[in-house]
Formats: sequence, structure tokens, C-alpha cells
Amino acid sequence: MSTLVEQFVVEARELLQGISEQILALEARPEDSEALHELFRLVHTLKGNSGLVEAPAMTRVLHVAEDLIGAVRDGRQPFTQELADALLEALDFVALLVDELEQEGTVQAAHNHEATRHIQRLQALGDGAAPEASPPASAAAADDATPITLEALPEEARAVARERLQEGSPLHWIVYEPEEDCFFKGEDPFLLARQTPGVCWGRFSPREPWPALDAMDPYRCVLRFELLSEAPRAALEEHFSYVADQVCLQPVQASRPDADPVDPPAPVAIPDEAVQQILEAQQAVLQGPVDEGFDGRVQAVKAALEGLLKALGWESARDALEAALEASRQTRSPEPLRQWIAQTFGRHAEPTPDAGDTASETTPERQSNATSEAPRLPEARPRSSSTLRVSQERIDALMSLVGELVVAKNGLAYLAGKVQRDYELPELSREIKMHFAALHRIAEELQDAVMQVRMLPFAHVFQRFPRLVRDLARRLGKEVRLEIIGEETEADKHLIESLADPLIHLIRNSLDHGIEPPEERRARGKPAAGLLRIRTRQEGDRIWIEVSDDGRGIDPERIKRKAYEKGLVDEAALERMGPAEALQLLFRPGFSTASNVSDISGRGVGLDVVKRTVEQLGGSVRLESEPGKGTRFILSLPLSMMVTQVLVVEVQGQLYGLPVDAVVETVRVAPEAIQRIQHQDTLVLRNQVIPVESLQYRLNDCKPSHKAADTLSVVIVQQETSRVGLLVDDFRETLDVVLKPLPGVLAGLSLYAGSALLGDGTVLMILNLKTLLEPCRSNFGSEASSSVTT
Amino acid sequence: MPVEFRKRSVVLRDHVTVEEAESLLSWLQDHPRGQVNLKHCRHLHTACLQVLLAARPSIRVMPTDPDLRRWLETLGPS
Repeated sequence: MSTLVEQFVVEARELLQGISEQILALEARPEDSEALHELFRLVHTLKGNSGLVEAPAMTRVLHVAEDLIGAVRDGRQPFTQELADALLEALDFVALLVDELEQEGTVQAAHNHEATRHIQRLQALGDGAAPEASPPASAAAADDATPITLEALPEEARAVARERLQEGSPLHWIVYEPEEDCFFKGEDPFLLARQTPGVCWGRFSPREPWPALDAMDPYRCVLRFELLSEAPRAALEEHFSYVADQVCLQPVQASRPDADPVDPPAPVAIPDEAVQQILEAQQAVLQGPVDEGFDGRVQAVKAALEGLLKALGWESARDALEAALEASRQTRSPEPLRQWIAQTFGRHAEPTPDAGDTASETTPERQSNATSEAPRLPEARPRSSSTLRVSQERIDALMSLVGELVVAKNGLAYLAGKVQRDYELPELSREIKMHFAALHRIAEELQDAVMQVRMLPFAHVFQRFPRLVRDLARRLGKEVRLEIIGEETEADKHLIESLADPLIHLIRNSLDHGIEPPEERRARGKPAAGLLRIRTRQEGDRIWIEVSDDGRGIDPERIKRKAYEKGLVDEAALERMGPAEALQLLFRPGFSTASNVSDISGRGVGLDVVKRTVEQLGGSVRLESEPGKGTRFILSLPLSMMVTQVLVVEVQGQLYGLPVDAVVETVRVAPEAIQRIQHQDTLVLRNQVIPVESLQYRLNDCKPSHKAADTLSVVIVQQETSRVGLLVDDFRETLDVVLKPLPGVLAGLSLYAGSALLGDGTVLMILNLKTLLEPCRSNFGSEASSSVTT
Repeated sequence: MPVEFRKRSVVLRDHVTVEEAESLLSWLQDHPRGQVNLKHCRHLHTACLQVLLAARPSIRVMPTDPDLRRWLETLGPS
């Protein structure tokens, strides 16, 4: 992809975003003239930019949209709901083209039909308001490949068309009515018409009578071009793709091929003027030099005249015409035909003086440096260059380098300790420590700076929500007020982007299942418009996101019942389950309470996917709900994925890291405190029964050797709603590490979340608690059930 | 220059661009009987074409370019 296209894609996305924001703003306050001006400016800029890349369909749609918005701005048109809908849809189409441009580098001509559909819709809305736009609209309306019969063609074209059709070549009749202000866009319709592929006949005519010369505006295009072309339709569409809305393209059909060709059509009153024009044209053709093309031209003239006779009902004159043609052919002179015309049409035909084509003025030929195309009017666009676009890979590379620097720096601290311990050089050790401190500070700052670069405000994802909520609410027939709080909260770009889909799902969920239809809400004494609130805040190194609604809430009993019916939980578990736990069942895969799958939230993407995504980002989801009052999803996520805090524990002389997020507390207990209940070690801690697992057993599958220790070290970790104690040999310090995913074949080891390098160069394996404890829980469950059966 | 204004005629050469339309129009206004020589003209911009169509000056020489000549035949020497 060229840099131009790349840049265009980035800018187009921004502009599209701005445009849709303005449309939504206008929808709320149609009288907001500032928003209107801004909207116009944005659409205009986008249109201008789109001219730089090969995307005529985009340019055309935007052009019509711009016209329409201009009409609204000038007060010629009200800003209506339909208008907003049509504009938004057209812009979705443009966004689609931008996507395609990004992926393919080009936009396929196949989109032209879709573009025309959008254009017609927009023009239909703007009709009457913008009269200058209607003639092309009507021309385009006649489009759609309805064939035109030979008879419907103008007289002069008919002969050529008939000839070509007899040869069996496909013919298209093209009427091209350029826009009046097309010259200002650098268009040259005449050039375009001349360059039409396969053109075999063509003419131009004014769309309105010529004004007096001194009243004429030479820069207003009032010509109409009519062409016959043998080129395939696709080639013609391609050729006229920039002006497709101004072109009417119809295949030419031979008139009733089986019918008698002399079958006279109903005579119609033909204005003298038309006859005059036809005759003039024939005269002009006869004017041509007598060369190898002479026979063909004479034949064409004869065919045209024949048609004219037929139309006038002067069939009797045909024989004379044949004779004249024959004479012309034999003498190789147009004179006999000319005479025939003069005789037959007497008053119409005027003598035409010969052209003095020999009297050329011979001035030395000078090389002209005129450009063939009119220059585009340069658009002065001041642009501030205070921001810099950098590709994400570069930032990522920078970040991994910073990560390595942090690790390398830790080596220095280790060295200082070693120097003091092993070589007993306290002076040197202190100096190394001083350098380490400086390096540490710089590294921290560098890390912060790089993280800042990767930080994006939540507004980046939130900005599409107003539109989403609006569309969904309209489709569902609900009234929803969206409240976004804290969109300026910043988080890592990767995190923000990954959260977009889960958040959209939660919003859909709230709108579909949570918020009630207006009547139901009124009946319950709530305001008709439901409130959907999205709130973010940063607390320490974590980000909290709340998606809440004031809808009907979730009934835990119903969830329990559903879960049981679906076989997700057994009866015993059902009994034990509190309401808060029951709600978490919604996050289980395969759970969907919606009895009928709607296209809004029942897309097979359940809340389990939301949970999984958030967990992959190192976060957690919680659901709170009060029946009748509303539902609240609470997402908690780490601010940055770059540095993970781990608790280092020792098991059989080997060090492991446990993510601190999951650790609730660490306790040292006497061996007697751990009791065995049904094959499961448990620990009673502050009146709570906590299952205890030996980390050594989990990792190495060998029975823990309960050494004769005075105390046992237990790490209590939180797994969703339950707590589990992990028996380890000893605790060590907590560390900030840069988590690296395991490379190559090791990546398959799901037991580990990754590895990190310690200051002394050893590798610390970071445990993935979720997979580590999974078999434990299923064992627990199966053991419990087996004990019931035996 | 693609356009050369003379005493009684205007000579159009090569590609006549959109910029010439205005001067062409005013020349034809000032010279109602002025003639147009298109012999070496290969293309003229639609704006200029319109001026010629509206003013209908007498065409002294039709273009030698066969394609343009065919198109302009209706303009015809008159």
C-alpha cells in the first residue's frame, strides 16, 4: 500500500468519526449551526482527500452528501431523521470502502451500484432543495440497464447503431449530462466523451438555448453528450466511474428482430426543427472528403434519410432515394444525394458553402506546453504538524527494548550485592548502587514515557457508542439515554482496542435484555427513557469500567434454574449457590437466557467471550444486579500489560512467580490447621473453609512431603468467586517483571503464563493460576458427586 | 500558446485549455465576424467548445485531427 493511501485511510477514519459525531449532535439539536458547519467542512475535506486515491465511488457519494449538507446549511432543507439515517448509512458505505482500500489498496468498480443507490437516496431527500442536482438524478434514474430500442435513438445514431447491431457487436447508448460546475472540479466532459472506449457515434447538444454572448457564463457546463459505444458495459462503467451519477448507460436493442423492418411505426408529429437538424447533419456528413470511407458514409446518410421518410410517412419517396444513393455511389460524389435532399425537403435544406480548408494559416509551429488537463484548484489546507504518526510496530519494538533495559538494570543491583558479599569492597558496591539508582530512575521514566505513548483515552472506543446505542435503540423501539463518564481515562492502546468488542457486547446486552420498552418502564414508574451508563476510572494501577443500566435486572433464581436445565450445575451446587454466585453463571460458556435469539445480542457471542477477553487482558469481570432496578457489569483491568507484579514463591528449591493480582494473602499456619475432608485438604481461616492445594503436587504430580516443619506457608489466591490456598515451601519478595510469553514449543504449556528474567540472569516461571487450578476444581466437583453415589 | 488571436481570426492549436474560454468568449464578442481556425487543434476543452457553440463563429478551417473533426462536424463551416 502506498503511503498516500495509508495516510488517507488513517485520516478518513478520523474524519468519518468526526462526521458521525456531528450528525448525532445535529440529531439532538438540529438548530446547532456550528455543528452543521463543522459537518460540512469535514465532509468536504474527506471528499477532497478521496480524490487523491482511486475511489470514485467514494468521491461521488461524498459529493452528493456534501451537496445535501450544504442545502441544509443554507436553510434550503430541514435536518430530518431520515436525512440523518441516509447520511449515516452512506457514511457506513464510505467506511466500508475505506476498509477495502486499506486491505486491497484499491476500491473495486463493483461498488458503483451500491454507490448509486446511496446517491439516489440522498438526492431523493435533497430533491427540490437542490434543483441543479435533479437533472443528473433523473438521468441516473433511467439507468439500470433497461435496454433502449433502436427506434428510441436519435435519427443520426440509428443508422450507425443498426449497422453495428447487424455485425453483432453489443451497443450501448450513453447520455452524459455533466454537472454545471464540473469545470471547477477539473473535469473536461468533452475529453471524457471523446475518450469513451469503443465510441462509434457521438454528438453534443446544449441542454438549454444559448444565451446572448454577453450573458454567457463560459464556466457553466450546459452540454449534453450522447454517444454510442461498442465497448463492454464494464469498460464503460469504469470509464465514467467518476461521473456515474451524470451518465445514463443503456444497452441498445434491435427493435423487434422478427418484425418486418418496413413495419411503419405510428407516425408522430415531427417538429420542423428536428427535421432541419437531421438534414443538417446529413449535409455535414456528405461534406466529408471522398475517400475509402465514402461508401459507408453515404450508406449511413441514406439510412438516416430512410428513417426520416418513414417517420414522416413519406414512404413513396424511398425509390427516389435509392436511385440517388446509387448515383452517388457510382459517381463517387455526394451531389446526387444532396440534390435529392434539396428536392425532397426543399424548404429545409439550405445550400452549404464549401469549406475553405486549404486556406490554412501558416505560422511557424511552436511547441505548446499547454497541459492537457485543467489543473486542479489547489486547496489550501493549513495543517499543524504537532502530532506524529508512528506505526505500532515501532512503539512495540521500543517497548520491548525498554523492558530489556529494566532487566539489565536489575543485573546491576545484583552485581552490587555480589561485590559487597563476595569481594568485600563496600566502596565499589556503593558506587555501583549509586549508578544503579540513577539508571533505575531513568529506566523508570523511560518506561513511563513509552507507556504514555501507548496510552489512549477511552474516548477512542467510546466515541462509537452514541451511534451504536442510537441505532440499537431505534431498532428495538426503546428509548435510551447514554451517559459516558470518564472517557478521558487513559489506558494501554492494546487494552483499549481489545476492550471494544466486549464493551459493545455489554451495551447490546443491556439494551436488549436490560432496558425495558417505554410502556413497561412507565408502568413501573420509571422514566420512559432508560439510562445506560458507562463509567471508567483509574485506581492505582488498575482501570475500572462499569457498564450499568436501570433496566429490569436479573433474577438469580431464574439463572439458577436455567443453569440447572442446561446441565451446567448439579443440584448440590445449586443449593450452595448464593445470589451473587448465581449471577456469575451467566459467564459460563453455553449459557444464554434469551429464549429467542435476537440479532442484537444473541449472536452466539456470549458473556463467556467477554469474560475470556477480559481475562486475557489480565482483568476480571463481575456482575451485580438487582431485579427491577438494573444491572451492572464491573470490569477491572491492569493499567498496562507491560509490567506485571509477581509474588515469588519457592517450591523444592525452584522459584515460581504468582501474579499479585490474584493473591489475597499469605499465611503461615501450623501443620495441624490443615485438615482432610473427603480427600481434600482444607484450611479454616477466619471461619471460612478454604480448600488447600499443594503447588508441588500440581506442578510435579508428586505427593507433597509434609516435612516436619513448624509452620506451613500458604498463599491464598482468589479464583473468580472462590478462594484456594496454595501450599508452598516459602514466600519470597514481590517483583516487577516484564512478562514474556513462552517461545516455540513451550508456548503449549498452558500451566505457565510466561517467563521473566531475574537480575541474576535466572529465569522465573510465572504461573497461570487459572489453568493451574482448573483440574483441582473439577476434581473437587467429581469427588463430591462420586461420594454421593457410593 | 494554444490560442493566438489575430486581427480577424483566432487560431486554436493543440489542446485548448479551460483557461482560454473566457478570452475566447470576449474575443468573439469583440469580433462578431471573427473566424476560427481549428486546423492544428487536437482538443478543445468543453468550456471552449461551449463558447464556439454559443457564438457560432464561422469556422475557417476544420481540424485535421480526424476524431475531433468528426465531433465538430455539426459545428460545420457556416
